[in-house]
Amino acid sequence: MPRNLTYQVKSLLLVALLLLLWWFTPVFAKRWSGVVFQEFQAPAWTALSYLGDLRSYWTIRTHGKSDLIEAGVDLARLNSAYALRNQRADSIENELERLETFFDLPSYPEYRYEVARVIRRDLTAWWQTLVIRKGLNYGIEPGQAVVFSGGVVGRIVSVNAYTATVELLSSPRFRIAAHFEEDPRPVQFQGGINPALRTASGTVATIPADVVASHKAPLRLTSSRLGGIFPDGLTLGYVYHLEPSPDGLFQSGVVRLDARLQGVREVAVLVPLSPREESEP
Amino acid sequence: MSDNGRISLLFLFNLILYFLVGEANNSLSALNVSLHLDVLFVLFFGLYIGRSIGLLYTLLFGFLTNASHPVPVGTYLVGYLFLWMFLVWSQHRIRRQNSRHVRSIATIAQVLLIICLSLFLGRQSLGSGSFWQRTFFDLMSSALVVYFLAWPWCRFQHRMLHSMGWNLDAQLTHR
Repeated sequence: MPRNLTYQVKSLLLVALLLLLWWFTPVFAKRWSGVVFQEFQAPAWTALSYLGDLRSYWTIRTHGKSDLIEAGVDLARLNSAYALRNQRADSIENELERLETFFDLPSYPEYRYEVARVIRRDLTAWWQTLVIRKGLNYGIEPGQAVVFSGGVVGRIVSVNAYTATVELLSSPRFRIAAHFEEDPRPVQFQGGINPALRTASGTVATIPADVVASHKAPLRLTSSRLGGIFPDGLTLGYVYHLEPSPDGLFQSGVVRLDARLQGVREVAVLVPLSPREESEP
Repeated sequence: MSDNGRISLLFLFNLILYFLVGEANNSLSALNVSLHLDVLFVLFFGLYIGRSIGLLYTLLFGFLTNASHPVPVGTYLVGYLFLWMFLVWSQHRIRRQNSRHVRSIATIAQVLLIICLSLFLGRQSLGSGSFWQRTFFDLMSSALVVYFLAWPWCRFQHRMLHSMGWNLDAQLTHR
Protein backbone atom coordinates (compact mmCIF):
# COMPACT_ATOMS: atom_id res chain seq x y z
CA MET A 1 0.00 0.00 0.00
CA PRO A 2 2.70 2.62 0.82
CA ARG A 3 4.32 1.78 -2.49
CA ASN A 4 1.03 2.47 -4.30
CA LEU A 5 0.64 5.72 -2.47
CA THR A 6 4.17 6.72 -3.46
CA TYR A 7 3.38 6.04 -7.12
CA GLN A 8 0.35 8.31 -6.93
CA VAL A 9 2.11 11.00 -4.92
CA LYS A 10 4.94 10.96 -7.44
CA SER A 11 2.42 11.37 -10.25
CA LEU A 12 0.78 14.25 -8.41
CA LEU A 13 4.13 15.95 -7.87
CA LEU A 14 4.98 15.50 -11.54
CA VAL A 15 1.68 17.09 -12.60
CA ALA A 16 2.26 19.96 -10.16
CA LEU A 17 5.75 20.48 -11.60
CA LEU A 18 4.41 20.51 -15.15
CA LEU A 19 1.70 23.01 -14.22
CA LEU A 20 4.31 25.21 -12.58
CA LEU A 21 6.48 25.01 -15.69
CA TRP A 22 3.49 25.90 -17.86
CA TRP A 23 2.68 28.84 -15.57
CA PHE A 24 6.17 30.31 -16.08
CA THR A 25 6.34 29.59 -19.82
CA PRO A 26 6.48 32.89 -21.75
CA VAL A 27 3.27 33.86 -23.54
CA PHE A 28 4.91 33.82 -26.98
CA ALA A 29 5.95 30.18 -26.44
CA LYS A 30 2.38 29.27 -25.44
CA ARG A 31 0.98 31.00 -28.51
CA TRP A 32 3.58 29.36 -30.72
CA SER A 33 2.63 25.92 -29.38
CA GLY A 34 -1.04 26.72 -30.11
CA VAL A 35 -0.26 27.66 -33.71
CA VAL A 36 1.92 24.58 -34.21
CA PHE A 37 -0.72 22.18 -32.92
CA GLN A 38 -3.46 23.90 -34.90
CA GLU A 39 -1.46 23.68 -38.11
CA PHE A 40 -0.65 20.05 -37.29
CA GLN A 41 -4.31 19.02 -37.27
CA ALA A 42 -5.54 21.36 -40.03
CA PRO A 43 -4.63 18.96 -42.90
CA ALA A 44 -6.60 16.14 -41.26
CA TRP A 45 -9.73 18.29 -40.92
CA THR A 46 -9.31 19.47 -44.50
CA ALA A 47 -8.88 15.88 -45.71
CA LEU A 48 -12.07 14.86 -43.86
CA SER A 49 -13.89 17.74 -45.52
CA TYR A 50 -12.68 16.64 -48.97
CA LEU A 51 -13.83 13.10 -48.16
CA GLY A 52 -17.28 14.52 -47.34
CA ASP A 53 -17.30 16.35 -50.68
CA LEU A 54 -16.37 13.11 -52.45
CA ARG A 55 -19.21 11.32 -50.67
CA SER A 56 -21.64 14.04 -51.78
CA TYR A 57 -20.29 13.77 -55.32
CA TRP A 58 -20.96 10.03 -55.49
CA THR A 59 -24.40 10.52 -53.95
CA ILE A 60 -25.22 13.05 -56.64
CA ARG A 61 -23.82 10.70 -59.30
CA THR A 62 -26.57 8.22 -58.47
CA HIS A 63 -29.23 10.72 -59.62
CA GLY A 64 -30.90 9.94 -62.92
CA LYS A 65 -30.59 11.95 -66.14
CA SER A 66 -34.12 13.32 -65.79
CA ASP A 67 -33.18 14.80 -62.38
CA LEU A 68 -30.15 16.49 -63.95
CA ILE A 69 -32.24 17.89 -66.81
CA GLU A 70 -34.76 19.27 -64.31
CA ALA A 71 -31.96 20.83 -62.26
CA GLY A 72 -30.49 22.30 -65.46
CA VAL A 73 -33.82 23.89 -66.40
CA ASP A 74 -34.18 25.34 -62.88
CA LEU A 75 -30.65 26.74 -63.07
CA ALA A 76 -31.32 28.29 -66.46
CA ARG A 77 -34.38 30.07 -65.01
CA LEU A 78 -32.37 31.29 -62.07
CA ASN A 79 -29.57 32.46 -64.38
CA SER A 80 -31.94 34.55 -66.45
CA ALA A 81 -33.50 36.04 -63.30
CA TYR A 82 -30.04 36.88 -61.93
CA ALA A 83 -28.96 38.37 -65.28
CA LEU A 84 -31.89 40.79 -65.07
CA ARG A 85 -31.10 41.57 -61.44
CA ASN A 86 -27.45 42.23 -62.38
CA GLN A 87 -28.52 44.79 -64.95
CA ARG A 88 -30.65 46.51 -62.32
CA ALA A 89 -27.79 46.40 -59.79
CA ASP A 90 -25.43 47.94 -62.38
CA SER A 91 -27.80 50.82 -63.05
CA ILE A 92 -28.27 51.43 -59.29
CA GLU A 93 -24.50 51.36 -58.81
CA ASN A 94 -24.00 53.89 -61.60
CA GLU A 95 -26.63 56.14 -60.07
CA LEU A 96 -24.92 55.81 -56.68
CA GLU A 97 -21.54 56.74 -58.14
CA ARG A 98 -23.10 59.74 -59.88
CA LEU A 99 -24.67 60.94 -56.62
CA GLU A 100 -21.44 60.36 -54.69
CA THR A 101 -19.54 62.48 -57.20
CA PHE A 102 -22.28 65.13 -57.27
CA PHE A 103 -22.46 65.52 -53.46
CA ASP A 104 -18.74 64.77 -52.91
CA LEU A 105 -19.55 61.85 -50.60
CA PRO A 106 -17.05 59.16 -49.55
CA SER A 107 -17.74 55.92 -51.45
CA TYR A 108 -18.86 52.71 -49.77
CA PRO A 109 -16.21 50.04 -49.26
CA GLU A 110 -16.12 47.36 -51.95
CA TYR A 111 -15.70 43.67 -51.19
CA ARG A 112 -14.50 40.54 -52.94
CA TYR A 113 -16.56 37.44 -52.10
CA GLU A 114 -14.25 34.57 -51.16
CA VAL A 115 -16.43 31.45 -51.11
CA ALA A 116 -15.20 28.77 -48.70
CA ARG A 117 -16.35 25.35 -47.50
CA VAL A 118 -17.05 24.74 -43.83
CA ILE A 119 -14.84 21.91 -42.58
CA ARG A 120 -15.79 21.91 -38.93
CA ARG A 121 -18.57 23.20 -36.70
CA ASP A 122 -18.01 23.63 -33.00
CA LEU A 123 -21.27 24.77 -31.42
CA THR A 124 -21.11 24.44 -27.66
CA ALA A 125 -22.74 26.31 -24.79
CA TRP A 126 -19.51 28.30 -24.36
CA TRP A 127 -18.74 29.32 -27.93
CA GLN A 128 -20.04 28.87 -31.47
CA THR A 129 -17.40 28.68 -34.17
CA LEU A 130 -16.87 27.34 -37.68
CA VAL A 131 -13.63 26.45 -39.38
CA ILE A 132 -13.46 27.18 -43.10
CA ARG A 133 -11.15 25.76 -45.75
CA LYS A 134 -9.43 29.01 -46.72
CA GLY A 135 -6.97 31.11 -44.77
CA LEU A 136 -3.99 33.37 -45.30
CA ASN A 137 -3.49 31.76 -48.72
CA TYR A 138 -6.64 33.60 -49.92
CA GLY A 139 -5.97 36.93 -48.21
CA ILE A 140 -8.38 36.30 -45.35
CA GLU A 141 -7.69 38.32 -42.20
CA PRO A 142 -9.17 38.48 -38.71
CA GLY A 143 -12.20 40.76 -38.37
CA GLN A 144 -13.56 40.22 -41.88
CA ALA A 145 -17.27 39.59 -42.34
CA VAL A 146 -18.66 36.18 -43.28
CA VAL A 147 -22.03 35.80 -44.99
CA PHE A 148 -24.24 33.14 -46.60
CA SER A 149 -27.47 33.03 -48.57
CA GLY A 150 -29.49 33.61 -45.39
CA GLY A 151 -27.55 36.72 -44.32
CA VAL A 152 -24.75 37.21 -41.82
CA VAL A 153 -22.82 34.16 -40.55
CA GLY A 154 -20.27 35.89 -38.31
CA ARG A 155 -16.75 37.25 -38.48
CA ILE A 156 -13.25 35.83 -38.77
CA VAL A 157 -11.52 35.54 -35.40
CA SER A 158 -8.32 33.74 -36.29
CA VAL A 159 -6.55 32.77 -39.49
CA ASN A 160 -4.07 30.00 -40.22
CA ALA A 161 -2.15 29.17 -43.35
CA TYR A 162 -4.98 27.19 -45.02
CA THR A 163 -7.91 27.54 -42.61
CA ALA A 164 -9.73 30.28 -40.73
CA THR A 165 -12.01 30.28 -37.70
CA VAL A 166 -15.33 32.12 -37.83
CA GLU A 167 -17.16 33.27 -34.73
CA LEU A 168 -20.83 32.67 -35.39
CA LEU A 169 -23.57 35.24 -35.04
CA SER A 170 -25.13 33.01 -32.39
CA SER A 171 -22.02 33.01 -30.19
CA PRO A 172 -22.52 34.78 -26.84
CA ARG A 173 -19.33 36.80 -27.49
CA PHE A 174 -20.55 38.19 -30.83
CA ARG A 175 -21.79 41.79 -30.65
CA ILE A 176 -22.42 44.29 -33.49
CA ALA A 177 -24.38 47.40 -34.37
CA ALA A 178 -27.55 46.71 -36.36
CA HIS A 179 -30.80 48.36 -37.42
CA PHE A 180 -34.29 47.30 -38.39
CA GLU A 181 -35.33 47.24 -42.02
CA GLU A 182 -36.48 50.70 -43.14
CA ASP A 183 -35.46 52.21 -39.81
CA PRO A 184 -31.93 53.63 -39.77
CA ARG A 185 -31.71 54.08 -35.99
CA PRO A 186 -28.94 51.85 -34.62
CA VAL A 187 -29.60 49.06 -32.14
CA GLN A 188 -27.26 46.59 -30.46
CA PHE A 189 -27.24 42.91 -31.41
CA GLN A 190 -25.58 40.21 -29.34
CA GLY A 191 -25.44 36.45 -29.84
CA GLY A 192 -27.39 34.44 -27.32
CA ILE A 193 -27.08 31.29 -25.30
CA ASN A 194 -28.45 28.54 -27.48
CA PRO A 195 -30.51 25.84 -25.77
CA ALA A 196 -30.22 22.32 -27.15
CA LEU A 197 -32.62 21.08 -29.87
CA ARG A 198 -33.74 24.59 -30.76
CA THR A 199 -32.73 27.05 -33.47
CA ALA A 200 -30.12 29.62 -32.59
CA SER A 201 -31.12 33.00 -31.24
CA GLY A 202 -29.63 36.30 -30.16
CA THR A 203 -30.72 39.39 -28.31
CA VAL A 204 -31.30 42.93 -29.47
CA ALA A 205 -31.19 45.92 -27.13
CA THR A 206 -31.40 49.75 -27.14
CA ILE A 207 -34.45 49.68 -29.42
CA PRO A 208 -36.39 52.97 -29.42
CA ALA A 209 -39.70 52.81 -27.53
CA ASP A 210 -41.87 53.53 -30.61
CA VAL A 211 -40.82 50.36 -32.46
CA VAL A 212 -43.51 47.64 -32.47
CA ALA A 213 -43.04 43.94 -33.31
CA SER A 214 -45.60 41.14 -33.30
CA HIS A 215 -45.97 37.57 -34.52
CA LYS A 216 -48.11 38.80 -37.43
CA ALA A 217 -45.67 41.53 -38.37
CA PRO A 218 -42.15 40.53 -37.28
CA LEU A 219 -39.29 42.98 -37.74
CA ARG A 220 -36.29 42.09 -39.87
CA LEU A 221 -33.04 42.98 -38.17
CA THR A 222 -30.25 43.83 -40.59
CA SER A 223 -26.56 44.60 -40.37
CA SER A 224 -25.36 48.17 -40.16
CA ARG A 225 -22.23 49.62 -41.70
CA LEU A 226 -21.64 51.56 -38.47
CA GLY A 227 -19.27 48.91 -37.13
CA GLY A 228 -17.18 49.09 -40.29
CA ILE A 229 -17.18 45.32 -40.81
CA PHE A 230 -20.48 44.43 -42.48
CA PRO A 231 -22.16 46.09 -45.44
CA ASP A 232 -25.60 47.51 -44.77
CA GLY A 233 -28.82 45.50 -45.06
CA LEU A 234 -27.74 41.87 -44.57
CA THR A 235 -30.26 39.84 -42.59
CA LEU A 236 -29.37 38.98 -39.00
CA GLY A 237 -32.73 37.55 -37.98
CA TYR A 238 -36.33 38.34 -37.11
CA VAL A 239 -37.80 39.86 -33.94
CA TYR A 240 -41.32 38.78 -32.97
CA HIS A 241 -41.69 40.37 -29.57
CA LEU A 242 -40.25 43.36 -27.74
CA GLU A 243 -40.15 44.11 -24.05
CA PRO A 244 -39.58 47.51 -22.44
CA SER A 245 -36.35 47.96 -20.51
CA PRO A 246 -36.56 48.95 -16.80
CA ASP A 247 -35.78 52.63 -17.55
CA GLY A 248 -38.67 52.81 -20.05
CA LEU A 249 -36.54 54.57 -22.67
CA PHE A 250 -35.65 51.56 -24.76
CA GLN A 251 -36.86 48.05 -25.57
CA SER A 252 -35.14 44.72 -25.98
CA GLY A 253 -36.07 41.42 -27.61
CA VAL A 254 -35.04 38.00 -28.80
CA VAL A 255 -33.81 37.64 -32.39
CA ARG A 256 -34.67 34.37 -34.13
CA LEU A 257 -31.74 33.50 -36.38
CA ASP A 258 -31.85 31.51 -39.60
CA ALA A 259 -32.21 27.78 -38.88
CA ARG A 260 -29.71 27.00 -41.68
CA LEU A 261 -26.96 28.76 -39.73
CA GLN A 262 -26.24 25.69 -37.61
CA GLY A 263 -25.80 23.43 -40.63
CA VAL A 264 -24.27 25.87 -43.12
CA ARG A 265 -21.81 24.15 -45.50
CA GLU A 266 -20.59 27.00 -47.63
CA VAL A 267 -19.98 30.63 -46.72
CA ALA A 268 -18.47 33.72 -48.32
CA VAL A 269 -15.85 35.90 -46.68
CA LEU A 270 -16.09 39.59 -47.55
CA VAL A 271 -12.52 40.59 -48.29
CA PRO A 272 -12.27 44.41 -48.58
CA LEU A 273 -10.83 45.49 -51.91
CA SER A 274 -7.78 47.71 -51.96
CA PRO A 275 -8.18 50.98 -53.96
CA ARG A 276 -6.13 49.43 -56.80
CA GLU A 277 -8.37 46.38 -57.01
CA GLU A 278 -11.48 48.60 -56.94
CA SER A 279 -10.29 50.59 -59.96
CA GLU A 280 -9.77 47.39 -61.99
CA PRO A 281 -12.83 46.36 -64.07
CA MET B 1 7.60 -3.92 -32.58
CA SER B 2 9.24 -1.65 -30.01
CA ASP B 3 7.37 -0.08 -27.09
CA ASN B 4 7.59 3.31 -28.79
CA GLY B 5 6.00 1.84 -31.91
CA ARG B 6 3.15 0.31 -29.92
CA ILE B 7 2.49 3.56 -28.07
CA SER B 8 2.63 5.52 -31.33
CA LEU B 9 0.03 3.18 -32.78
CA LEU B 10 -2.21 3.72 -29.75
CA PHE B 11 -1.73 7.46 -30.15
CA LEU B 12 -2.73 7.18 -33.80
CA PHE B 13 -5.93 5.29 -32.94
CA ASN B 14 -6.82 7.87 -30.30
CA LEU B 15 -6.14 10.59 -32.84
CA ILE B 16 -8.58 8.90 -35.22
CA LEU B 17 -11.15 8.82 -32.43
CA TYR B 18 -10.50 12.53 -31.82
CA PHE B 19 -11.31 13.34 -35.46
CA LEU B 20 -14.33 11.03 -35.45
CA VAL B 21 -15.71 12.84 -32.39
CA GLY B 22 -15.18 16.10 -34.29
CA GLU B 23 -17.12 14.70 -37.25
CA ALA B 24 -19.93 13.53 -34.94
CA ASN B 25 -20.13 17.02 -33.45
CA ASN B 26 -20.23 18.40 -36.99
CA SER B 27 -23.35 16.36 -37.68
CA LEU B 28 -24.94 17.09 -34.30
CA SER B 29 -24.44 20.84 -34.67
CA ALA B 30 -27.71 21.07 -36.61
CA LEU B 31 -29.48 20.02 -33.38
CA ASN B 32 -27.42 22.39 -31.21
CA VAL B 33 -25.94 19.46 -29.33
CA SER B 34 -22.25 18.95 -28.60
CA LEU B 35 -20.56 15.80 -27.34
CA HIS B 36 -17.60 16.18 -24.98
CA LEU B 37 -15.74 12.87 -24.93
CA ASP B 38 -12.35 14.10 -23.73
CA VAL B 39 -11.97 11.35 -21.15
CA LEU B 40 -11.91 8.69 -23.87
CA PHE B 41 -8.64 10.13 -25.20
CA VAL B 42 -6.78 9.81 -21.91
CA LEU B 43 -8.65 6.95 -20.23
CA PHE B 44 -6.43 4.09 -21.32
CA PHE B 45 -3.21 6.01 -20.73
CA GLY B 46 -4.41 7.13 -17.30
CA LEU B 47 -5.60 3.74 -16.11
CA TYR B 48 -3.29 1.19 -17.71
CA ILE B 49 -0.10 2.76 -19.07
CA GLY B 50 2.95 3.88 -17.08
CA ARG B 51 3.42 7.33 -15.66
CA SER B 52 5.95 8.97 -17.97
CA ILE B 53 4.40 7.73 -21.22
CA GLY B 54 0.87 8.45 -19.97
CA LEU B 55 1.76 11.95 -18.92
CA LEU B 56 3.58 12.76 -22.15
CA TYR B 57 0.66 11.47 -24.16
CA THR B 58 -1.84 13.46 -22.07
CA LEU B 59 0.24 16.61 -22.59
CA LEU B 60 0.22 16.05 -26.35
CA PHE B 61 -3.54 15.60 -26.43
CA GLY B 62 -4.00 18.61 -24.15
CA PHE B 63 -2.04 20.78 -26.59
CA LEU B 64 -3.93 19.37 -29.54
CA THR B 65 -7.39 19.99 -28.06
CA ASN B 66 -6.43 23.37 -26.70
CA ALA B 67 -5.21 24.56 -30.08
CA SER B 68 -8.50 23.76 -31.80
CA HIS B 69 -10.75 25.59 -29.33
CA PRO B 70 -11.16 29.31 -28.70
CA VAL B 71 -10.12 29.16 -25.04
CA PRO B 72 -7.38 30.89 -23.04
CA VAL B 73 -4.07 29.17 -23.70
CA GLY B 74 -3.70 26.13 -21.48
CA THR B 75 -7.32 25.56 -20.43
CA TYR B 76 -7.59 22.10 -21.92
CA LEU B 77 -3.99 21.27 -21.08
CA VAL B 78 -4.65 21.87 -17.38
CA GLY B 79 -8.01 20.09 -17.64
CA TYR B 80 -6.44 17.01 -19.23
CA LEU B 81 -3.63 16.91 -16.67
CA PHE B 82 -6.21 16.90 -13.86
CA LEU B 83 -8.19 14.27 -15.74
CA TRP B 84 -5.08 12.10 -15.97
CA MET B 85 -4.31 12.71 -12.30
CA PHE B 86 -7.86 11.67 -11.38
CA LEU B 87 -7.50 8.46 -13.39
CA VAL B 88 -4.11 7.68 -11.79
CA TRP B 89 -5.65 8.34 -8.36
CA SER B 90 -8.50 5.95 -9.15
CA GLN B 91 -6.15 3.17 -10.38
CA HIS B 92 -6.00 1.59 -6.91
CA ARG B 93 -9.56 2.42 -5.95
CA ILE B 94 -11.27 0.52 -8.73
CA ARG B 95 -10.83 -2.87 -10.35
CA ARG B 96 -9.47 -2.04 -13.76
CA GLN B 97 -10.63 -5.37 -15.17
CA ASN B 98 -14.20 -4.62 -14.18
CA SER B 99 -16.21 -2.98 -16.93
CA ARG B 100 -18.63 -1.21 -14.59
CA HIS B 101 -15.80 0.31 -12.58
CA VAL B 102 -14.07 1.62 -15.69
CA ARG B 103 -17.31 2.93 -17.18
CA SER B 104 -18.26 4.66 -13.93
CA ILE B 105 -14.89 6.29 -13.33
CA ALA B 106 -14.76 7.51 -16.96
CA THR B 107 -18.26 8.99 -16.70
CA ILE B 108 -17.51 10.70 -13.38
CA ALA B 109 -14.27 12.15 -14.77
CA GLN B 110 -16.05 13.47 -17.87
CA VAL B 111 -18.90 15.00 -15.86
CA LEU B 112 -16.41 16.72 -13.53
CA LEU B 113 -14.49 18.11 -16.50
CA ILE B 114 -17.64 19.49 -18.15
CA ILE B 115 -18.77 21.11 -14.90
CA CYS B 116 -15.34 22.70 -14.35
CA LEU B 117 -15.19 23.96 -17.94
CA SER B 118 -18.74 25.34 -17.68
CA LEU B 119 -17.90 27.23 -14.52
CA PHE B 120 -14.67 28.58 -16.04
CA LEU B 121 -15.70 29.29 -19.64
CA GLY B 122 -19.30 30.33 -19.05
CA ARG B 123 -18.64 32.79 -16.24
CA GLN B 124 -20.75 35.52 -17.88
CA SER B 125 -23.72 33.20 -18.43
CA LEU B 126 -23.89 31.39 -15.10
CA GLY B 127 -27.12 33.15 -14.14
CA SER B 128 -28.92 32.11 -17.33
CA GLY B 129 -31.36 29.20 -17.35
CA SER B 130 -30.72 28.54 -21.06
CA PHE B 131 -27.01 28.12 -20.38
CA TRP B 132 -27.63 25.48 -17.72
CA GLN B 133 -30.27 23.74 -19.85
CA ARG B 134 -27.75 23.49 -22.68
CA THR B 135 -24.93 22.44 -20.35
CA PHE B 136 -27.14 19.80 -18.72
CA PHE B 137 -28.18 18.41 -22.09
CA ASP B 138 -24.59 18.26 -23.35
CA LEU B 139 -23.46 16.77 -20.04
CA MET B 140 -26.10 14.04 -20.05
CA SER B 141 -25.58 13.07 -23.68
CA SER B 142 -21.79 13.07 -23.27
CA ALA B 143 -21.97 11.04 -20.05
CA LEU B 144 -24.23 8.50 -21.74
CA VAL B 145 -21.89 8.09 -24.70
CA VAL B 146 -18.84 7.89 -22.43
CA TYR B 147 -20.53 5.25 -20.27
CA PHE B 148 -21.20 3.04 -23.28
CA LEU B 149 -17.93 3.62 -25.12
CA ALA B 150 -15.38 3.68 -22.27
CA TRP B 151 -15.09 -0.07 -21.72
CA PRO B 152 -15.14 -1.20 -25.40
CA TRP B 153 -12.56 1.46 -26.24
CA CYS B 154 -10.29 0.32 -23.40
CA ARG B 155 -10.74 -3.35 -24.35
CA PHE B 156 -9.91 -2.56 -27.95
CA GLN B 157 -6.65 -0.84 -27.00
CA HIS B 158 -5.86 -3.56 -24.49
CA ARG B 159 -6.32 -6.33 -27.07
CA MET B 160 -4.36 -4.42 -29.65
CA LEU B 161 -1.39 -4.14 -27.28
CA HIS B 162 -1.75 -7.80 -26.40
CA SER B 163 -1.75 -8.81 -30.05
CA MET B 164 1.49 -6.85 -30.49
CA GLY B 165 3.14 -8.73 -27.65
CA TRP B 166 2.66 -6.35 -24.74
CA ASN B 167 1.12 -8.20 -21.80
CA LEU B 168 -0.51 -5.38 -19.90
CA ASP B 169 -2.16 -7.63 -17.29
CA ALA B 170 1.21 -8.93 -16.11
CA GLN B 171 2.56 -5.39 -15.92
CA LEU B 172 -0.47 -4.17 -13.93
CA THR B 173 -0.15 -6.87 -11.30
CA HIS B 174 3.53 -6.01 -10.75
CA ARG B 175 3.11 -2.28 -10.30
